[in-house]
Amino acid sequence: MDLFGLGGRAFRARLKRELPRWRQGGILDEGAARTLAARYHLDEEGVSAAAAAIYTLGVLLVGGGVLSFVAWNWADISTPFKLLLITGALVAAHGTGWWLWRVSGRLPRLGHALVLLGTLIFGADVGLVSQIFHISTDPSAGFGIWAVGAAVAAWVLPSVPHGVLAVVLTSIWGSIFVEEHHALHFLVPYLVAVPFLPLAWRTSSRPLFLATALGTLWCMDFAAGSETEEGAAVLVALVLGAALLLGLALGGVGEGARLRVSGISRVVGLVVLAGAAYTCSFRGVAEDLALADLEGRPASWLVFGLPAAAGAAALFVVAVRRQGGELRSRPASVIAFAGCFLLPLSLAVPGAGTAGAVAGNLVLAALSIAAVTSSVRTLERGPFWWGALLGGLLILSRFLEYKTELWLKALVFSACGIVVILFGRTFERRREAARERGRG
Amino acid sequence: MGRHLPIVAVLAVQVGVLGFIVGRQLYARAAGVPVTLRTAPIDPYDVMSGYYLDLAYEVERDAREQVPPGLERGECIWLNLRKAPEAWELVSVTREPDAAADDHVSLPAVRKRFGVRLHGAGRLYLPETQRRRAGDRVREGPDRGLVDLRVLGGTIAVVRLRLGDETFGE
Repeated sequence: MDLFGLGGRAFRARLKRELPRWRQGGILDEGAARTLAARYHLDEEGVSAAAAAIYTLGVLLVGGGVLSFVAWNWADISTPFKLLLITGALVAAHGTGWWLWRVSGRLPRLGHALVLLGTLIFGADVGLVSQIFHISTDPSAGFGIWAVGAAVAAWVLPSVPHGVLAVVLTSIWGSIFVEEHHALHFLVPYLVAVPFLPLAWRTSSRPLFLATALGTLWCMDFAAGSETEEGAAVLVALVLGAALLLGLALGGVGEGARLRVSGISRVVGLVVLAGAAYTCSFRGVAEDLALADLEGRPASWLVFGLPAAAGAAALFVVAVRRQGGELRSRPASVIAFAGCFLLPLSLAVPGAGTAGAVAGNLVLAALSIAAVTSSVRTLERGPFWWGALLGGLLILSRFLEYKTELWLKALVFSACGIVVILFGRTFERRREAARERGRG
Repeated sequence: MGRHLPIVAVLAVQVGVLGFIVGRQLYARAAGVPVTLRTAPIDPYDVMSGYYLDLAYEVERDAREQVPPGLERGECIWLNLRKAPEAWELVSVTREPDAAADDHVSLPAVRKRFGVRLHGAGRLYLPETQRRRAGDRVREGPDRGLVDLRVLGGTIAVVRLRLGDETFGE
């Protein structure tokens, strides 16, 4: 599995379009076409994204309207009637939604959206009850209660939108909770990952997997930062999380199974790694991120940091065993994974400022080169422009960071611009030629 | 009925949670010990925050000096109060409730970054007109408000704020 190869929905959509042409052109026989269709699950009907988006947007807008009541004091309505109103709205949304979704089945997507509205109303009701009775507690409590309600719905119904909502709420709860409860902060990333990864598997939902991955990274970041109050811990926690995701992608975990996570894991891992490398590439910033600053600081954030590192290493071993030869022929892919460990190691040595900056620049350069070379092989635009963006950002940042003569800046920027134009033009021509050959 | 079990379970949890929160408050209001606390001086330029009034208490300020050593931020403690003519007064701050006599009560509190805050008694939600009026009263003079609470076990229910001859929040 190449870190920079494109797969996933775009590839399957294109393959589904091309297969009938290949059959007509005699390139494939019926049996081979059926084998390809089965292998890449081409017959699966995806949810109409547009319909789902419209219903979800509508529900969120209605939910926003309901939530506005949280900020409004109902001076003239008696307490019993207020309670009846808010509970009635909750029951009505859930009941109507359920009927449309699972009982009559006439408007299942609208029904599902109404059930989601019911859970949004539940969150508003928690706030309204606090307002009615002047309840003020830990700021995270409201989000935590709401998250529990959403999580129960996500598992019991089951429902992916509820799962995503629950992940978001749990992540918000976690990031507030760790500020007030240092003793328990190391649990928070697990409280996001443990309930929702199995749900993503159960529902074969990549959006839920993506939300869970992002939510877990978010909580790792907050937990490490709030405990140590040092950016170094935040960076290491994030990079180790990225390593785990890249390990999932390299190992091809989920390929051929009900939940294909390689693509998402690759993209998120690469973006996080690139962000971390870019941050470190500035010498002054790398100096402030030296791991030596963590000496004497609490270290229980390693309760999630070390398992992430161990998991990433184990997945890499799996990748080597499954694809050993293939990995050796793609050293840049391996370098990208190794970059996740190179960055923290560079910040651990004396002179972390220089070492970290060198490592950050090396990793960015490796990611850029790997993306561009991959795009030349596969003729995919995405990796090409991603690599070009990284390379351009790297050069621009170094020129802005270090004082150089204006004429040199002018020369280098112009040269980079010409290279990008020429390369881009050559790339597009090769891509067009390949498409023409395919049609012929 | 079996096919409706999922939505029934969701409703049971969500309505149940709301019912638990409401029930605890109603029970505290009905059966709790009535306690009156004096509010600490409120900075009139900070007092209004959104649609609620931030409440701070003299007993919280007094408790700062008596916090048990080694207490971490976020940990729970108890403010043990004794009834006095106008407002209840702080007796001690302990890790466990210590309401020694009938005219004593223990209130749950949380160690914050700077000091101590009573748990669940920090806000009074007011309609817009009342909020402005309460703010005007605070700005006009050195009103030391009195807050009426009901306390039952670890639950504090905020009932009303009294500023001079005016009452807010009921």
